[in-house]
Amino acid sequence: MWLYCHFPQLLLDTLLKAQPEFEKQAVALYQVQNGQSLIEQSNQVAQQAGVSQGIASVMAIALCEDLKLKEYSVTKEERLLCGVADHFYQWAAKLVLEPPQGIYVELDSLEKLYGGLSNTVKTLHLAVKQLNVRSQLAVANNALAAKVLAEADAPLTMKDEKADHQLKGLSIKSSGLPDKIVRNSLSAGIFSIGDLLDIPGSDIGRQLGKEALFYIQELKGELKTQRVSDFYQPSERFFQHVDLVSEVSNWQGLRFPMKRLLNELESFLYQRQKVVQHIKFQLYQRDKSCSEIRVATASPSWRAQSFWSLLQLKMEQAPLSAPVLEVSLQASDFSSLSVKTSHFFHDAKDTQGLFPLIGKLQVKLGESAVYTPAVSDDPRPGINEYKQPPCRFDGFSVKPVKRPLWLNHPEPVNLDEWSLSDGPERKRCGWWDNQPIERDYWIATDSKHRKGWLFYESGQWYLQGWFS
Amino acid sequence: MAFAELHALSHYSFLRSAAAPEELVCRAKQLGYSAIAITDECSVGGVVKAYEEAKQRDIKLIIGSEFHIADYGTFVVLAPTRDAYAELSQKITEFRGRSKKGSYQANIEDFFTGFSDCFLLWLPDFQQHQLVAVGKKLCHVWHSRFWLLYERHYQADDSETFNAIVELNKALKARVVCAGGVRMAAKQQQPLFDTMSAIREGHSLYENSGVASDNAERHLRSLQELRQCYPEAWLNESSNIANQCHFCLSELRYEYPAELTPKGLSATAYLRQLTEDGARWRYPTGIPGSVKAQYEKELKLIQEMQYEAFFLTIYDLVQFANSQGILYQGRGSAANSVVCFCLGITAVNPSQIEVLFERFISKERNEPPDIDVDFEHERREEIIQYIYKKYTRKRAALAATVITYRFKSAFRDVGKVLGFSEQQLQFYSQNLDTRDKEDSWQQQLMQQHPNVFGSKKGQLLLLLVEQLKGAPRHLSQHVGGFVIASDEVARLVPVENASMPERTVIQWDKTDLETLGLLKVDVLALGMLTALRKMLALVNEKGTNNGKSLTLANIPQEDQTVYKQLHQADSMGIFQIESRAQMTMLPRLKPKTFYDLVIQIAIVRPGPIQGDMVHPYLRRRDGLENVDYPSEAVQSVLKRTLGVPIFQEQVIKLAMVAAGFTGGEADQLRRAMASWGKQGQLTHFEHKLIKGMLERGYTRDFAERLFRQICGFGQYGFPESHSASFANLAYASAWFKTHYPAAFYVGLLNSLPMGFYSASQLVQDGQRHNVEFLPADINKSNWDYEWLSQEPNVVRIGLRQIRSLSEIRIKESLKHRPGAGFNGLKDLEDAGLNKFDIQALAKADALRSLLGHRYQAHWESLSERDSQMPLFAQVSDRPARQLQAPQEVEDIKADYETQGLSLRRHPVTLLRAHSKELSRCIVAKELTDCRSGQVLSVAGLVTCRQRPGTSSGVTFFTLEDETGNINVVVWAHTGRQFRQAYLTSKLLWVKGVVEIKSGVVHVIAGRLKDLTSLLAIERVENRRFH
Repeated sequence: MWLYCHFPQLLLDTLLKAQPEFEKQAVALYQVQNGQSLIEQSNQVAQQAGVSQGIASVMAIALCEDLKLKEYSVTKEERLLCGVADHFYQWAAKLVLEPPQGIYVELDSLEKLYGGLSNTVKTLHLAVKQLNVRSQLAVANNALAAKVLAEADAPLTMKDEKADHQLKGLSIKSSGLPDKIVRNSLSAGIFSIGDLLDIPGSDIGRQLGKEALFYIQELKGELKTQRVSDFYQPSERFFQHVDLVSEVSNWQGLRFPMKRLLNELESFLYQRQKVVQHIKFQLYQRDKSCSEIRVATASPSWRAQSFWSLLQLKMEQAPLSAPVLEVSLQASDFSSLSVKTSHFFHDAKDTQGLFPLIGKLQVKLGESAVYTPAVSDDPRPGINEYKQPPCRFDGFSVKPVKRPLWLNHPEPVNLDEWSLSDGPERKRCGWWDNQPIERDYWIATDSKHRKGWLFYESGQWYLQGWFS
Repeated sequence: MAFAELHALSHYSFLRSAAAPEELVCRAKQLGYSAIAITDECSVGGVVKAYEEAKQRDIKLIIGSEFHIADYGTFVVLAPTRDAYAELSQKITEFRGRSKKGSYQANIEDFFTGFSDCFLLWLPDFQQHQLVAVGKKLCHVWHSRFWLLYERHYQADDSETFNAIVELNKALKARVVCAGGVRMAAKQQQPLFDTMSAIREGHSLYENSGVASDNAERHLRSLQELRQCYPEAWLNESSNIANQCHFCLSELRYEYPAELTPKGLSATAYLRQLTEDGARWRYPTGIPGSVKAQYEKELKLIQEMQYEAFFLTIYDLVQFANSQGILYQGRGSAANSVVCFCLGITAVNPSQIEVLFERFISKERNEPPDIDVDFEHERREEIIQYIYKKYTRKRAALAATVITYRFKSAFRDVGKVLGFSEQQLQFYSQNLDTRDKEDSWQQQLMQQHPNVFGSKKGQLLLLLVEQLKGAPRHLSQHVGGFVIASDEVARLVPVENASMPERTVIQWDKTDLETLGLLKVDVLALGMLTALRKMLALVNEKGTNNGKSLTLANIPQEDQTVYKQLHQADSMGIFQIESRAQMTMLPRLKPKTFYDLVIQIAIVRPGPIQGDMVHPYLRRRDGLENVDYPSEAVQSVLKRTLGVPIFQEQVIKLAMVAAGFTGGEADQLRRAMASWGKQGQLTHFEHKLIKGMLERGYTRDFAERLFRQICGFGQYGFPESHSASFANLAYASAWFKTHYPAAFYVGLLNSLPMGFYSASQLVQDGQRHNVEFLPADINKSNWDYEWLSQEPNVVRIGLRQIRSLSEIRIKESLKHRPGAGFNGLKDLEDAGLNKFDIQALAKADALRSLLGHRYQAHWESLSERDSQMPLFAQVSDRPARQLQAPQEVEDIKADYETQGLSLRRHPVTLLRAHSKELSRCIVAKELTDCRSGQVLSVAGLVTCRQRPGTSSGVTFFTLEDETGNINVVVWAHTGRQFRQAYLTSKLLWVKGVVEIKSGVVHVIAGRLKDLTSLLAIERVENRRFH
């Protein structure tokens, strides 16, 4: 027997779980197909306004002006499915993924453990409920039948006859057969799976092709299925990612999603009886930069709370540098729960390499104290400098220009004490934001023959930096 | 110090410059430059606009172009003489010809040979080595026509570049000239310039501000700024170069192809001979004196203007069309001349309308005549190929159409640069009425989304979109305007590749050609001509026209039964008057003569509607308002349209007779009207027009009303000359609909896609006109629709109606159809059909006579009979399994899916039995019997959802039920209230008030309900907002 769990809105439901404040608003995910942006998933509020799968995003906004739109990503949904499988792994070992939205669970091996089929299904049903995402479950005597029933959202039954009856009543469009076979069937008046099953296999093979025949044989349980051959192996590293419905510009808005990620890490570690010392949050920001928050506990732990308290301290140290759109949590290098871990600084392994050092410096000094300086290709000196997460290089192609090594906050100077040597380099730009500049830059030498970088703005000369 | 700017790019170097050529010229003059060169990148696209401006401003314009060669820098080539210009034009053609549309390829070797007259200014790329060697070679080849170019934009490396150019010059012993590398007319254009750069690079300015310029130094600088920037000698050198440039675009002369005239005969004599022959053919009983006098006058004018060859070129094309049996019709003021009537270029008898020929071939304005020739759309390519064959590709090329930024494209591109998402932008723009007279689009956005458009980013969006509007984006090919040269087009203007293979376009558009007085021949495509040719052929084949061969020319004129049918708004399928707006006007205007049709066609246009000409005209026609004229002069212009200006010509003539405009000024007014809304040029004429009229004794009220009407006309005014030609075809198609409805529908259905209506709508209209349609069947149908019999009118649907069929294979297989028809799948395969064709036929129920109902036929057609599946070989000989026949609703659904129409019952009929709401509705044909003001409900399939720009928030729906079409008017607030039904429903129920006025029936919606869920049929063709 097989159970199939179908999660029709896995990505959207997970997104809303991270920001429950959006549950009462219309939210939808869109996907761009052949240049057209179409709705892929939508929550109940959006559906009530007429926003359904397959309609154009522009139409969706016309139907529901307040609609929050996010882009759908199959990769993200597949990653979430792995998280779901990790969760299931606490109750069932023989799992097969059907990305991006389904999981097969083999039931025969569980019946003994949970005391019969009914109890097994109940247990798994409860496990699904804990996920708090929309799910459709079905049980059947073969994996394909369970999948078809679950995807069509047929009422859950454990009786073969009833399942068989449900199956036969389903539209051929719900069969999961390739489009071409479905179209050919419909054109021949075959509307339901039952209609298809009534036709002798040889006729199906001849008229609709091998694929349809194998499908029927698999559905009837006459053909051993290939679809459930690779059982899921839990991942050795933890990576979970949360898309935010709407950008968040303060820590308060991030508390819930980050805590949820930590809870997921806790259950991940608990299932594996592992502990971890270093974890890394990544905050993906609107300006496409990404900041990292590394949290290291004094000793390895599996509890969300231990990381949470440290994380809270970090949150208090500095405000968010830019609005955040997505958050992820990564952890690896697990050790067994029983192994006693060594002291913070005494572990030779920890002191090797740059990253552990940076992690520790950040914990000790505060995150904002450690960074890699970088220059973007914005034409405005000063504004084009930014702090990157340590050891990250965005690779802006900055032209080699005469720039001082050492930049000051501009300070007024008296030009009489300087002698201009090269210039002007005229900067009149930045009209698009609130920091426009109108400056003429010069290279000049002061009375001590030091080379400075001066600029003239609004009737005043300023020193911007020193050349080496 | 004298200075000439020798390196300036206009916005015809697409997205590389923010300045219009006119702006550059105007600014250069203001700054006191001695000359300016427009040097767009591998293009002379902007020079004609610059030339026109330079003529007015009295400043020297130099024609040039810049080229980039990786590793070697920028090469600015200037044309000092006519020969140099030809050389430059040919080189641009050559470089463009090496690449696909929109790009070019030039190599350093190209500058070592092949230029013997042009000047070269070289801006080296100092990052590269071997500059001295390359420079020496250039110096050697170009000799005294070579300069090193220095440009300074206040960058960090200015001093290094300066030193490098001085060093290089020492080595080369050449001369140095400085220029601005200009991309902006003034500093203030920097935001627009940066926005264009970001659009070009596909970046948002907030994410990648590196695409923005450091400063605004690439503008036209004042002489004082230039003095501070460059050594005086280098500045003076620019003026020296300018002094050596003498070429002016006015030197370009169009030379006609010589082969049009028989040997020993001048063009003038030949045209006269043809006209006189034609007159005798047109008036077999004797040429009326007035006609002779008119063509004499026309011939004299043509001779004075030397336009004979132009008329002969068009005559040659229509002669070719005649010889091939291709239907055509000339239109335009010159086309509707007696000469063109005699030459057979047009079928419109000039005595039927009043078109002033000399206004459009005007001595004063030296402007080419206006003749467009429409050919059958399915056969226009034959004419194009004839032109290429006769004149060769070197001598014939299509005119360009400059695709400019319009509101939507500007809003989208600027929005993206400012970091808005595509969805946001679509959302903001979709509720805008860009033709709203009261609120500008900026005001509408501010009202609808105050938070967004009140912010700095929102404000920038509003500002920059307005600035970007009108800027060119790329060149496209004109729909059919050919330039044919006597020698080589590329000596006149560069030619480049179009996106369509084997097509080339010149770098100038229609207006540029007009400005320079160069002729183009418009070879256009018109679907109705194809349909009419097919209708004529059908009637002639049947021999039903009393044995006489019917042609467009001998269709009986002024047939009142034809007009009576039009009074009932029964005009579906009739050329130009089939739209819903036209249909609602027909019962009000009640055309009774050909000229009424000319007015009918011109009046239902945004111009007259926005200029508020429609109601006064109708009131005067119905005798409800007095027709008065302030003067005899005005009366002479407006008499035929009861004192209301309806045609573009009338507005121009009014400006001449009432405000004293000269022909040239009136022409400028016409051009300003054409570009109204784009640049608001029309307001320049306000003062002159009103002053002129006041001086001539007209009241201020009359003067201001006329100006308002001109503004309303804008670019949507329709010329009488075109309307007359269209009316000819409208009348012809209406005549067929009245007298030979079967031929009419068959002609139309065999010419789709064209016109306003789908095959389904036309077939239903045909059924309402007692034409019986028989289903498509492989054993009975041919590819085209066929008219089987006249009494009763029976038509067989052609296989062309079935989707996904191969026309070639079907036509080929039908040649092998046995007399008794195909007898099985094998016969079809043997006749050359593949399995996809057979399956398409089966799904469309066109194999019924062979294999039974569509399910059975399709099931059997699926069989893999070529033993690809040996596993099932043993079962292949078994008799086919018998499947249950489809239900009626399934058949209807499949009919729509496979043919877009069904001859079975209308879906709404079927659904009435299942829906209370539908069963209580009034059907379309009962509406005329209702009382105006009656509250009722109607329902039908939504076949059209239209929100015209002139309708201030109203959406017009057309609902189709089993008895006809229902016109529903939905006001904006009702649309908002029932948003989902309004936006998405395919089957719509409407409760509202019926309004019946002058036989025009509308239902004003009060409530909407979406009944789409009742509908199993999803593929009813649905016209979206447009």
